[in-house]
Amino acid sequence: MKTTDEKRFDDSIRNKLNQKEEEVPAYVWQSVSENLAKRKMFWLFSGLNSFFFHDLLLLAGLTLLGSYDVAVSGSVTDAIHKIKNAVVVAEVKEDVALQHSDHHNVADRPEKKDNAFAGENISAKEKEENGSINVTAINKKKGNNKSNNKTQRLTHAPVQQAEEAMLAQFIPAADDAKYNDMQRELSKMEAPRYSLTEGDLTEEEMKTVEVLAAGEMSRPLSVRIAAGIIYFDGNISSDNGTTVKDESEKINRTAFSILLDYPVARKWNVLFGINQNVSVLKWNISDQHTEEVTVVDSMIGYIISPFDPPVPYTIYDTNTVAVTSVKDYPSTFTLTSIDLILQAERAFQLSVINCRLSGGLLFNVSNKAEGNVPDLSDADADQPASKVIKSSAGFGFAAGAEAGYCTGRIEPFVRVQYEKYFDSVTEMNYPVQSIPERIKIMAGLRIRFTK
Amino acid sequence: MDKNTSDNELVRLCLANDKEAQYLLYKRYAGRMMTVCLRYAASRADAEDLLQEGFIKVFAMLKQFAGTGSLEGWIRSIIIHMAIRKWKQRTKMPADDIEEHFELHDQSISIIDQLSADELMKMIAVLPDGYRMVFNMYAVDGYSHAEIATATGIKESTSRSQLVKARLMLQKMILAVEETVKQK
Repeated sequence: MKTTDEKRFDDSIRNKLNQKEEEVPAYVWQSVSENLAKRKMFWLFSGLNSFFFHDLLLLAGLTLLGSYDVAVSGSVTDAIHKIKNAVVVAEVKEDVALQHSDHHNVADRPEKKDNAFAGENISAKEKEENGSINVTAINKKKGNNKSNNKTQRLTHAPVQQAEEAMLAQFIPAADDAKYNDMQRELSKMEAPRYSLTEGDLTEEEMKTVEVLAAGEMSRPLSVRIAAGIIYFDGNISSDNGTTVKDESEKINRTAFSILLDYPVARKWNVLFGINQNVSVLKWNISDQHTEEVTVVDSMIGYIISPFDPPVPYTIYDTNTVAVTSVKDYPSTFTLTSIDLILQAERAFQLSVINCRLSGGLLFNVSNKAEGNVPDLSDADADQPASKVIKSSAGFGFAAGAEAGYCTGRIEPFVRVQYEKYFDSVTEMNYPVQSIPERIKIMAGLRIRFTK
Repeated sequence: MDKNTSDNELVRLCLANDKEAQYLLYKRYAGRMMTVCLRYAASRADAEDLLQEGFIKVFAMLKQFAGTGSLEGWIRSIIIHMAIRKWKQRTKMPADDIEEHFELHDQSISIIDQLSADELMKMIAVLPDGYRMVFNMYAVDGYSHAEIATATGIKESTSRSQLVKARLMLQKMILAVEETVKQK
């Protein structure tokens, strides 16, 4: 229970402090907002896919995918601020400690002797030249090897001892000079914190700051794993415009992908992806013949985000043939095709709309396939004729735009992606794989689970 | 959306991931919370870290805000709990059950009235870690000794003892100001 004295004392201090509103450096909000954009996130989306290419194919599908994004730590700006401030504060506090050591013969400071810079004090004259401690002068006095010791000095004992020494001096025999001395020393601890600029640091020190900053912004490897089922239902036509089947087609596709996301440098974020899709396509070529084709799609994605900080997360899409085999046919063939995608994506927000714009290049190579490769363009034949698929290399481009409405955890979105291949594996004549041009329209929901 | 937007509306918009609302909420309370951080932290740099981490936590936990009480009080409690967590990491509080008695000097209150908040903050800042933590929690933020004991892991008797010592030390510093003025 508080006594009256205690209550009066506490109340008078509380009333004073409750009116106080401190100024906050702008970079604090910068760090908070960057962190908000990079929160740990698990998202799911399901959506409807529509594929159009030439006038051949319309497929609608349902996709269920899940992904887990790992959080990114603080920004470079934030790191430099923190490091610079910490260096300055450590300098000032160390200097205070050394001064007290000189004046009051505080002997028990073994850390001082271990410190590479101990014993090198800054004169009062130098301090007073600019009204605060001249950090450049301190740096010069302390030699060039100081940068390696910055982090050690941030925690060493003289800092605490200085505060204790000041207090010990002040309390038993408070007088004007000592009070002023304490006030001056305390104000020195705060005043120069934001006065250091890059120009005050030597080249070597700046390198150290850069390295520490890079370390601060680094993040663990982000792994996104997605798996799902894509179900298509639509009409499929062959590449030459002949309808392969008029009836509704059912294509079941399982999808699995792994994305490895790693920041290689301050401004470059590489996303390396492996995407594995297995599709079973089944349709009637004629009344007498049913064709079932298994398609394994493999994809390597390589996405660069030239933004600082890197974009929160990136979606990529592709589908390309790797291996095909045909059942109910005398022989099978193998065709391997690899897509390399170089794509950048920029995410931004307009009010409550999350937008993403992406664009990039597509490169494709495939081997030559021959043997009993069915020629499905001959739709009326009982047995499809064999053909040869030439090896080929092609390139293309992709561009996409997405808009999502943020309602907190659930974000409905629409995405349109256009892809165009030049000189791709169009001769394959297998509809789903030979898509030289496609527009994908995807609508779905992202559901975020934040930690 | 402007400075007159209510706290509950701001919270709703923040939950909808509205960046402007998040900034407005931050701007509304950052200054006052920085004062709280400075009272608890060992240095200004630590206080800025605490504020940053505190607001990240606030936004992450915002959906748990019921909307019935004061948003400022809710944010303050999150920041204080983060400060306690950091304090526990860096401080090992010895058991301290020595009973002392606080006696108010008559002129203390009038001196406090004349001091600026900054001067008081500086005096609180030089209190030893344990004194500062208990004094802040009990005298300024209104926690009971039982609550302090639960939150910090110290004994209630230690909390009482640290509080009295903190008050005595603060009062010495406050009276020293008066002495200085008289001598001048």
